[in-house]
Amino acid sequence: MSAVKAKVRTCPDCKFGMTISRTSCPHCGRPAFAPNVDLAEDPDEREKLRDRYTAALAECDKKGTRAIADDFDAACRSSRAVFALGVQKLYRQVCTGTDIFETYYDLERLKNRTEAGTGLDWASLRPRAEIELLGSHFNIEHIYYACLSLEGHFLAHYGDCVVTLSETLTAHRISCFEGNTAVQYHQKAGFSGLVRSNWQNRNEICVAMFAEQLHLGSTQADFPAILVQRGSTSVDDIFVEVHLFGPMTVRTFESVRFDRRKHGSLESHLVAGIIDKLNACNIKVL
Amino acid sequence: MVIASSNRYLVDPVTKFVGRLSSAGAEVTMLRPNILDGGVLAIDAFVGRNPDAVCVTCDSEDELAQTIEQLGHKSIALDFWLMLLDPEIKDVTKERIAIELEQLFHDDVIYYHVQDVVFSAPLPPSAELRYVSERATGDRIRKFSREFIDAQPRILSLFAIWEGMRFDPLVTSKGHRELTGQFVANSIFRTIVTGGKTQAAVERLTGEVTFKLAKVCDPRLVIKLLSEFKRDLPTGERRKYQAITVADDLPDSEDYENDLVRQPIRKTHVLYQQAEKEIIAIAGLYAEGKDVQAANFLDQLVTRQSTDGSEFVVKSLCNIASRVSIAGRREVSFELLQQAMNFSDGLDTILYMQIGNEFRDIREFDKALECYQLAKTLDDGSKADGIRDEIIRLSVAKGDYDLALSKYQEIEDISQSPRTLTGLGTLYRKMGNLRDARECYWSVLHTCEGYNDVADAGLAESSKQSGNLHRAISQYLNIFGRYKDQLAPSSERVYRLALSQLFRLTQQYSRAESELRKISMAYPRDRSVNLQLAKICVLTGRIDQADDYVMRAKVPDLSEIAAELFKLVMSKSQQFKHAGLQTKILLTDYLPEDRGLAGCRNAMAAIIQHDFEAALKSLDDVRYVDRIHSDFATVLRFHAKRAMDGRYDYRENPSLCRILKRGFQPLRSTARSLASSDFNIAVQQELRFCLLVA
Repeated sequence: MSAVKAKVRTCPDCKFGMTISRTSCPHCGRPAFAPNVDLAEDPDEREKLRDRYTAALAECDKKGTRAIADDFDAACRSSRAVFALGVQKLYRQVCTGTDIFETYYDLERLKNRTEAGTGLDWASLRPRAEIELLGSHFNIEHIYYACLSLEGHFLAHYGDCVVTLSETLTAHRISCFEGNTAVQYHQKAGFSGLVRSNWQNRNEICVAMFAEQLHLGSTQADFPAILVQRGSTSVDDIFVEVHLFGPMTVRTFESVRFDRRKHGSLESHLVAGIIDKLNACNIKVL
Repeated sequence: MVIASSNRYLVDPVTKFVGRLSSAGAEVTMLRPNILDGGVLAIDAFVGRNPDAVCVTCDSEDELAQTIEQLGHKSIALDFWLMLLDPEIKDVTKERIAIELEQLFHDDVIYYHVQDVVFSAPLPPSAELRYVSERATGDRIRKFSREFIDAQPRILSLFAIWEGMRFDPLVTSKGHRELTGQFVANSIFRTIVTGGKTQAAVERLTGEVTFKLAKVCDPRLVIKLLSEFKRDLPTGERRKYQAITVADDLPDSEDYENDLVRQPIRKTHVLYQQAEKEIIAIAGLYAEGKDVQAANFLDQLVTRQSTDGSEFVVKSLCNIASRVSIAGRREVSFELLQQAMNFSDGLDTILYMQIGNEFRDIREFDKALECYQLAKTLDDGSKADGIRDEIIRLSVAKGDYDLALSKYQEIEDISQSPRTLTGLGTLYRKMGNLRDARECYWSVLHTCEGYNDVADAGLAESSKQSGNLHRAISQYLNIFGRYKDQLAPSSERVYRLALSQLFRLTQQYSRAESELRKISMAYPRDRSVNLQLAKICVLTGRIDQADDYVMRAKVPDLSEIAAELFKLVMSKSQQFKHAGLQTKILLTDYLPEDRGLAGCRNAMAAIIQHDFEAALKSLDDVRYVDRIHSDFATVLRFHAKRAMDGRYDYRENPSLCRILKRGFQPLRSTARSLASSDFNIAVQQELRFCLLVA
């Protein structure tokens, strides 16, 4: 794992400095910070992304697809963060943040692993990709994953319940990354050469990644499928990975969409329960 | 790239993701939810994205599918139960959920899985019990609800105590989180909060909980946790246990623990005596098949001894296991030894060796070897020779004499170790090399200045094997005279059995019986003792009494050669109801030194069936390490040949001549009957000899 130089930030309130692994100011106790966003906004990363972005547009100029690229760029400025998951995972996600459930789910996990007990040292299985991504092992458990999407396109490998995140509650703590970090790390043992962005500049990473796939015949209708490409295996999916830092509850959702026809009898009850809870929080059910 | 795969899988019952682990354990090949998926991820990435993943081992697709289904049902049942407590879920949804949950709860595995989880932490204030207490229908859900609501105060108490022990040294050594996982997985929290409603109830639980966690943590942690827990509970009614003595018809006595504290100065001695009595009584109950009662008393003993650490518990378990195996309950002995091994925190080299020896005695050789190897890892070097000797004895116990001999021959300065040298002597003896055996024993006696009962007994056995029965008897009598009260009880048992057999062989039946009576007081359920008593009764015409001893010896279950010969004889007796005859026994089922006699048994069975060709075949290619067995085989061979050819002349056979002139008297008589072609008498004499020889 390559070493990342310890980065520092300055608190906007008290003006004192701290390492970016801190999620709140240790001096004045004020706002929450997102290390992933700090890293994406690092000047070196910005420059790297900007270089890729301009190079991609220059290439489009040569190919004569600049206008289409500009349309794609504009569309991606309004892309949303979505993630897909199975019904039961969605239900447990919806229950996160309520004290009824979290302790019991943690106990169940401990129980299952103890009972199965096939010699894995769970404590040592820390996701190396996340450590590399954040530059340290701090906070790796606070990352949620999604992908950038247009018109609700999603990666069906992960499930058929699609959650769209609320931009208001997430934009300040989201970063975007060029591809599936788990797969990239596994295949390349690092992230060198790959680009990341904050939420505001997500269009640049989209263009950097997908501009070369645009051709003269590409239209607006093609953009969603270009932005989220489902591969033959989950490992082959191509997309812009979104990293949401910090807590996520049902109120972090903007909407949830189900494919109801696919649910078995047991799962249908979970769906009913999820809908009840979403309705209680005024979250859209599509 | 082809990745070598294993039969281990990562299964997340919540996300439904499944992957197969590579054989190196570093990568996961995705299998589900998309069955066509074949992508590969690093294991840490898989676990990071699927935090509820567990690792399972499955040897087939069906087994994997069943595992996935069961994990899935368990996790969804938990979700359903929690939904019934969620105030945001509407009643109409809860009603549908309750119907499904009722079905799921009919599976006890699922029912108790959910209980294990939700009984491990108190219900948060925001949870709502209204639906489950007022509106839930379905017997299983109502039962669950009642137990759940009733247990809440105790759950809260236990949870607070357990959290408070987070930094206790007994906890930090393993880790609070890991221990929590163990407690939940072993249903400890559930057991305590559902069964421990009073102080007395908690005390009764202690043994069970201690056993479950023997492999997990120091038993003192359990004692501490339960002591804290029961403090604020109502007293409850304590059962009056009888003082554990021999008979069940004694009147109830005072709680025997009170006896111990009356004389505190002698407490240690009293405790030891008391424990010894309990051990004998518990073993006796197991021997009689009163397993439930035995287990209850055993729990008590374990609970009490656990307060002082694992060592005493382990010793008690080994002691009981030894007695129980002698009484023929091998399966119980095995279980007790397994339990002893589970107290890994308290075991040291010597205790592991002791457990290993007990496993060896019940012929669980793999477990014995495991114990010796564990002893080796803990040893600081001081017990290395002893461990080595026990491992070699394991080869001997398995009948692998050549291997054992090669291991002995690798030892330098073997003459410096009397224990090792006697072991070698015994091995030589079993291989029929009596000269080298005697040399070993004499060397040991020289080193020990003439005092070593094992060497003396080895010499006695060598005499017996060479046919000098009366000398062997003298030697055994000398052992009892010289060593008197210094003999270990187990050694005394072995020597008296051997002496009794010699008396029986030389037809001194009353003396044989007298020796057995001395052992039977200490080991009333001893299989060997009861079998030999049965033989003596048959030889002296007391068939009814023989019946009783056979019942105690559980003869039909035994496969030792002594029992096989007994069954062979009894199958001919119309009065005897227990024996069932197997035409042929496999020689390879017996240790090498017993195969000669096993061959004789098969020959005898064939002669009874008038299959003389088969009788001769049974005696071919068999090696005899005992003169008496060899002579018996010679006589049987003579019988078969004589029966096939009435003109067969014994004078052509030097061994037969020797037997007829000065051989062992019962065989001499048999040979004479055969020489006169009195075959019926010869069969009777041969059958009688079967009762004498083993």
